[in-house]
Amino acid sequence: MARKRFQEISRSSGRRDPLGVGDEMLTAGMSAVTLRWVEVPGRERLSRAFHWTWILALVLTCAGLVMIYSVSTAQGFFAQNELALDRIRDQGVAALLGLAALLVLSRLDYRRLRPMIMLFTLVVFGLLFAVWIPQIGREANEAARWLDIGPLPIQPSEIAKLMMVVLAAHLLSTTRAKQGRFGVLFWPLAPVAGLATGLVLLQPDLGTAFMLAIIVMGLWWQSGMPLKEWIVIAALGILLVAVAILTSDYRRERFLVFVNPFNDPQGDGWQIVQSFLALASGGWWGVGPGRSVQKFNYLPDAHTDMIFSIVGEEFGFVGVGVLLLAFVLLVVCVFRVAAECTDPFGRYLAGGVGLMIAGQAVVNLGGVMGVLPLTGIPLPFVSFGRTNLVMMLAGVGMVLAVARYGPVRIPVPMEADSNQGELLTLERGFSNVTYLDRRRRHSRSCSAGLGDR
Amino acid sequence: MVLALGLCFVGLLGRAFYLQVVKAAEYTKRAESQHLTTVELPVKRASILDRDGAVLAMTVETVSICANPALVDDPAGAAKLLAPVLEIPEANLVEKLSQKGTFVYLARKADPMVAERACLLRIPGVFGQAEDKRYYPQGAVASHLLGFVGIDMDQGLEGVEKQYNHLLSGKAGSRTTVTDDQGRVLEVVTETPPDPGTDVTLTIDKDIQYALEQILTQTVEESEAKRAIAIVLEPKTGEVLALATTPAFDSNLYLEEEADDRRNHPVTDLFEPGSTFKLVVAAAALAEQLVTPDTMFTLAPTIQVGDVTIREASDGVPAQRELTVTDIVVQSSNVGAVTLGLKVGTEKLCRMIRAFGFVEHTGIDAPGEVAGLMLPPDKWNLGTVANVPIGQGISVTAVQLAAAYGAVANDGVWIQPHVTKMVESPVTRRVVNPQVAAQLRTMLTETVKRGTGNAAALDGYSIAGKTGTAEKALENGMGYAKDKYLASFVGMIPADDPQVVILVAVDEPQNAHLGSEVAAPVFASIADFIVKHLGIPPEEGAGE
Repeated sequence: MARKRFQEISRSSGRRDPLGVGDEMLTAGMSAVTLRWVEVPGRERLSRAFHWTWILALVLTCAGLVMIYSVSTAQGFFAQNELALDRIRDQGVAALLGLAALLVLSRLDYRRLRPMIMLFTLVVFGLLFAVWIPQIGREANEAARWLDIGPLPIQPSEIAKLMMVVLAAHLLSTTRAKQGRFGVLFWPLAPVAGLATGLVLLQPDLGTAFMLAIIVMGLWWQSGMPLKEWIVIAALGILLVAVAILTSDYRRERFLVFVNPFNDPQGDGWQIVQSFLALASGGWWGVGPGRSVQKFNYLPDAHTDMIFSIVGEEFGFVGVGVLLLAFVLLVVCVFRVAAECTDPFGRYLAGGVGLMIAGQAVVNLGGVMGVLPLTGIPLPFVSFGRTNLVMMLAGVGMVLAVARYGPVRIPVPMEADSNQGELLTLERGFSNVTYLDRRRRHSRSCSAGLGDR
Repeated sequence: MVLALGLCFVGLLGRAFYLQVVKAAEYTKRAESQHLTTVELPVKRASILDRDGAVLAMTVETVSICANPALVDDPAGAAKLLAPVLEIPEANLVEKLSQKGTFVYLARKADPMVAERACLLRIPGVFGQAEDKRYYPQGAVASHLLGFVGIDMDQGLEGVEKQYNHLLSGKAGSRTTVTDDQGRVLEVVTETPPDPGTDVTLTIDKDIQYALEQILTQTVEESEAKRAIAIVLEPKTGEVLALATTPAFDSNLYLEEEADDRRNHPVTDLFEPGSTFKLVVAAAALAEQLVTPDTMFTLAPTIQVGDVTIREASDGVPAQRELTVTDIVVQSSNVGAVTLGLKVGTEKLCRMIRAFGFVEHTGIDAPGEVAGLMLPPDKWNLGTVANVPIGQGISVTAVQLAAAYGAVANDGVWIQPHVTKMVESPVTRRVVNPQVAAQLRTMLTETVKRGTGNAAALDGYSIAGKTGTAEKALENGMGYAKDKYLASFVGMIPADDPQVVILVAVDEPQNAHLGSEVAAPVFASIADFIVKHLGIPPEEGAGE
């Protein structure tokens, strides 16, 4: 058992023989060797999870480009314009930008990001406020969501999600000395997250606000918040949502539409009913690539939030299964990277990105398939949405950085432990919070907080 | 947390399975009902032609000018522009353009030129829509026979349009397409092309028909009659060359005529034939070999049958005179006809009446034909016995009468009269043997030569014919009107080998009332036109 585990870990860590003892010794002499876990600062060889992560992210992005083209061709069919080409160019530029961000971030030790996090947070808050400035803010669908700065219209709420991941990972790992203690986890993350969520809610963008809440709740869970407090916060959140639904006629109607869309198939239920019809038309194998009918303006937002319905129509249940599998694999790989990283910051960073991808996928797919209310959340990587795509790829870049640079624990034989001091010395070369936190915990220091490192 | 997310994805996959596989049939049906649109592919109604291929009824493309009131911003301004073009009162247009809804006809089936001018005004919300229209290029020719169609073109409502609707209308095709949400076509799924209708060719000669209508109109004017009808029949084929009634009117304005004037009277109306019917009695007597044309009868001026007294039409008849069977016909002797009738007997007379086709429908292919009215033989009383031989107490249609004379003209073979070439094998039936038919024709020739039909004579031609002056029954059915007559003449030309049978009937003439005075000259002018039109050569030594 132990031997198997050893081989597995050493393989996945990419450091088969960390201390140069040779394969013969590790395998042949296993029974004679007592193992202990040693933290090493990084990997020599990149893990499988690393490769699967970037491959799946790119595959999903490309699939998205194809589907966006397919849908846009139909939407612009009778207008005789170049809607499809415009869309594919816009999304393509975003994909290239995202790819650049991914490459840069994956080559940059994620711990070097820490000093920039406060600035990033402030900028994002600035953008969230800026959507209300009439000269640069743009309203669409009765919501102030976009900023027209530079060539790309920016959707600050999308950036806010990544900001929330980074900020939460940062705050929860700096106060790790108090891990498990509610107050420190709660403060100062909760008010900051609350402010961001509130700003997003004001736009109004319920879906993104919900995503922000999911990210914070998930990271609180990951960082070991006591179950009782966590449940209390979750319950309060649910209560808040329930009150919000019940107090507004508009929201109550939206909720009732979700409960039974066929009550008003021509009005409020139109979009979700059309989504069902698209999916059902696909059947097992789909109507064939490009042969969707629902994309011809029957299904609103077919290129953005509802793109999954068209995938279902054109490729059927089989195609839907493949797409879901791709998302599951991607999320599993990202969580695996998180699990292997012994540095809490890296772990939370990767975990948060995984949560962002998985949560957004679940909320979008749930909405499209009518098991959750429609909230206007794009499907990660696939939907048309430039800010979203850039942020998703940037997030994946951070995960790759964690997989590349994050410290991992590997088992080594007892006898070879003489190098331990050297290893620790090496660790000091990085801004290794794990190490610092551990030292704080040993000295029973209670001082912790923003900027106190 | 990973477990929770995993459950989420499994749940989503299950939901996808539910939607895409379990509910697939139900939702796909719903989807198809919104994707698929079936439109009718219109078919052009076929034409009606005369016997020489001249078009009597055709389908032309017109443009209906329509509007979508929801898109008209300024109804008053639009109406002001449109009114002079469409020649419709401005107030009328304002009302139509201001109403609710998204569709209204401004001018249905307008002239394409008018429509083009209206569309060139480029008023938002006003547009043209192609629509077929039935057009009768000959105008007032055979209007009663042709009938008319409904506004939707697929339903013939009267006349040949109705009778042959199944051939003329054809069958509209259909096309099922996949459309986008605004009905724009993406793909054609199935298409059934329209099955075009078949042109119907009439046996009518439009020139004879036109001449007939002209002559009848003139006759009605001159004699101040209520109506005049005429039939020209080709006895050897049963084809009707012309079938006219008054008043003549433009087929394109069919609905503006009164309903009674639109009826095809020769087919739909019954009248008591009067003396023209004496031919049947003579035929029955000859066919039963009870008499020969030269059999002599001694006749008084009156004859008493039961309590009914029949007298001759003219005064000053000697108390006793000797008449052959031929003379009875030639002089149209009422007493002689009744005497022959009594000699033949009720049963045999009835049989002959039936054989000549006076009781049943002739089967002419014009709608609305009525059968003749005759009491069944067992219900005949002495009054009937006295009246029927002189053509009273029995009602027939003009077509029945013309067909009966046609049988005489066609060597005793009755042929089903018909107005279209669609009747390929008309019903035929032998009524009398050729010998009797020839004898009857000789009698009729004598009638024109030296008897009551003298006014029908035509230079260079031998004509066989018989006059008729029927008293008209009172509308309450109790006896006969004193001053209302139906004057008629039925004849054939040339007498020895008849090419046409012509029937003329003038209803309620005012100035004169005898068939010999009113109808016979009309026959002459019709015959004059026909021999010239058909190129029937004059006979040597015939006529005066």
